[in-house]
Amino acid sequence: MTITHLQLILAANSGDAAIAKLLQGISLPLVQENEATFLFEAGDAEAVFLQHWVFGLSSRIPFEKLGETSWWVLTLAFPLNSRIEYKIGVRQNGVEVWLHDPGNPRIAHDPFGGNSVVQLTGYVEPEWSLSDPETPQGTLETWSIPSRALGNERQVRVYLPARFRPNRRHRLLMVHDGDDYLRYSRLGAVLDNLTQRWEIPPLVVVLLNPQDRLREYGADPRHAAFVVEELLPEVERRYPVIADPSARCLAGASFGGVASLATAWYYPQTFDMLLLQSGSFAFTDIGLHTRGPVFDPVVAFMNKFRQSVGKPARKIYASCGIYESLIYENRSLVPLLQNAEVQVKFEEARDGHNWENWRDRLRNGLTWLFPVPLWFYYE
Amino acid sequence: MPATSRHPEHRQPLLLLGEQREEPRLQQALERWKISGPVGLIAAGWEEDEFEDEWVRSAVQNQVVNSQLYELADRMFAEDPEVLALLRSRQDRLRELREINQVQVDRMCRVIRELMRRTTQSPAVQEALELTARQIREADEQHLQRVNEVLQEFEERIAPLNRPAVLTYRASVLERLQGCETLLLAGGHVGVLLNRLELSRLLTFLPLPVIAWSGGAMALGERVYFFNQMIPHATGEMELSRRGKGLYTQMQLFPRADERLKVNDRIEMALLAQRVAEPCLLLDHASELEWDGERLVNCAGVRFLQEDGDVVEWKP
Repeated sequence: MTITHLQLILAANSGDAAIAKLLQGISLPLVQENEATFLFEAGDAEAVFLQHWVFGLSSRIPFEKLGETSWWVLTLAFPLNSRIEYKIGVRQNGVEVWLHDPGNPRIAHDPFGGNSVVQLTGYVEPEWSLSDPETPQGTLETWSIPSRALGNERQVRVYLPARFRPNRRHRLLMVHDGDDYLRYSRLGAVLDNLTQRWEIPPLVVVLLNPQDRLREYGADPRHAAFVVEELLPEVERRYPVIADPSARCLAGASFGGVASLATAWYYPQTFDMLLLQSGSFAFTDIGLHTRGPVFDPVVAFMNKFRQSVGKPARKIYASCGIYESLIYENRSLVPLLQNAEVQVKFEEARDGHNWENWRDRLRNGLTWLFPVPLWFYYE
Repeated sequence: MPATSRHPEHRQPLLLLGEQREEPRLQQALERWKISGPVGLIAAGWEEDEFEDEWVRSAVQNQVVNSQLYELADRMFAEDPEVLALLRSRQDRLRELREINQVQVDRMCRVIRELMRRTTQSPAVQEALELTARQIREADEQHLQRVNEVLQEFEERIAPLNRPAVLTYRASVLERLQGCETLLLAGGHVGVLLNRLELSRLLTFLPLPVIAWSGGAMALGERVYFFNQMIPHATGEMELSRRGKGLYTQMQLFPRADERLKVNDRIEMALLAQRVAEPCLLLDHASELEWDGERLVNCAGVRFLQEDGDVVEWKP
């Protein structure tokens, strides 16, 4: 059911009960084409605002009181197909809290707890990312490996596809922040579904998890040494994977994207494929960067990389949300790689720096990087 | 019309069908050939799912004997790991050759597309188009020659007659299919299917009539092309893999065309037709092609891809 602005105003004139009745059974915010109307009941609040992460818009956009009711309202226009994560900020007695939208059951989870989500007209949650009880599921194995490079022991999780066969050789995907990809991007269901449909080959997927993420993933050569000199040989010893760069892909999002690119750059001809999602590829052409000290090693690496791209991989799939502050850096990467004769597929989405954006691009990325099975199967 | 099959020793009749799993027409095919005895099923293309053949058994009234071509090959590999090692090394070399062919062909296909999109098709453009199409076909032919050299070298290196494991494999398959009146050749992974057919030499040692569908029908032709223009962000061109079994000639089959080809895109279809040079036939669900061992004798429900990219009903 669609509620028009006029209906809302008429209900507001009749008071809280009329609005409650109008909104009964309706999910918020109200979406019509490219407009989203956010509603929040907080009669005695001093202010209500929309807290979001759309780069380019003010990050706090105030609601207005809806007539004499206890409801607050805000209507915003976004491009069609957009997917926006947000929280509702409420200031009461001088104290400000951020809440999930109580009228919106749609929550995107992430390591920080999650956000409410508004999907504008045209956005469709991909069916291939949904867990299907009929689809055979892969299994997870966990083991540990001592790392001299990192100076401690690391736990590694490995996804083996339902079609895993010990007597066959498999392609290898290594994923930074692997457990987060499983939890927040449904990587397990995505792999199960795409494998079942023969859109990707049965992959052995190594899930990496950092201990000191921003340091290790910030282009740290010790992390690269761990991945290439310690973990990769151990994976090849334990599993029937094709021991060849052409069958290896390194993946990651945000700082995980930096870790992937840096590892491939420090060790060229190790990974032919990279999947880079919203990489934190901050750089400076001149002067200092303004992203804070945690980015110092990243900027140093990216500046070096941009001076001498080399050939970190043969094929790179990169994606970024256009509502991210990193869109400029990601767009800037593309011509650089193309000039280095790297085969690049770059995709932009009307989304932000979040796990569901990365989830939604996985099919395009993985099928482009691993285009094999459907070639061979003619049932 | 087609001349003869490539292998003079192969004269088995073939019935080539579109996909069968959804609404099988295998029973009608067997009745047409008046086959009432046991039939052998070759489902090596299904790999580890080779034994999931219940739908075939329920689609025909005949006794179905699963050849276990894939499973028995795995046992052979376990018994003689060197065969598997040599096979893998061969596959790595073939993969490299395919990639090289792709790089060569990709560039030429881009040229053809660009020329075809020109609004004026002058004689000069036509000449350039024909030249580029010829270059693609030459590149494909060279690729096939290199592939054949690799396959030949593999054959010499495994020396099957001196390998008990290979001989046992071949004998086991033949023993299983003893008494079968015809072979049902399923699709699946066409590369794996061809590998197992070659390792077992099944079609040479047991030249029975064959009813083949989808990928199974592709494997019996002269050349095997891999194609799919519908994968998200499909990359690269149709890929020439290798020679098939050569049991029929002068036609190239494209099963599940509506799912895998942009049949309404005249430029893409024209490009495909010009690359292949032989008649490109779209093998739909109800398609049937009957080959009597030397020539095509029946054809129904088959679409034909014209050189100009139009798809029409085929009347050979």
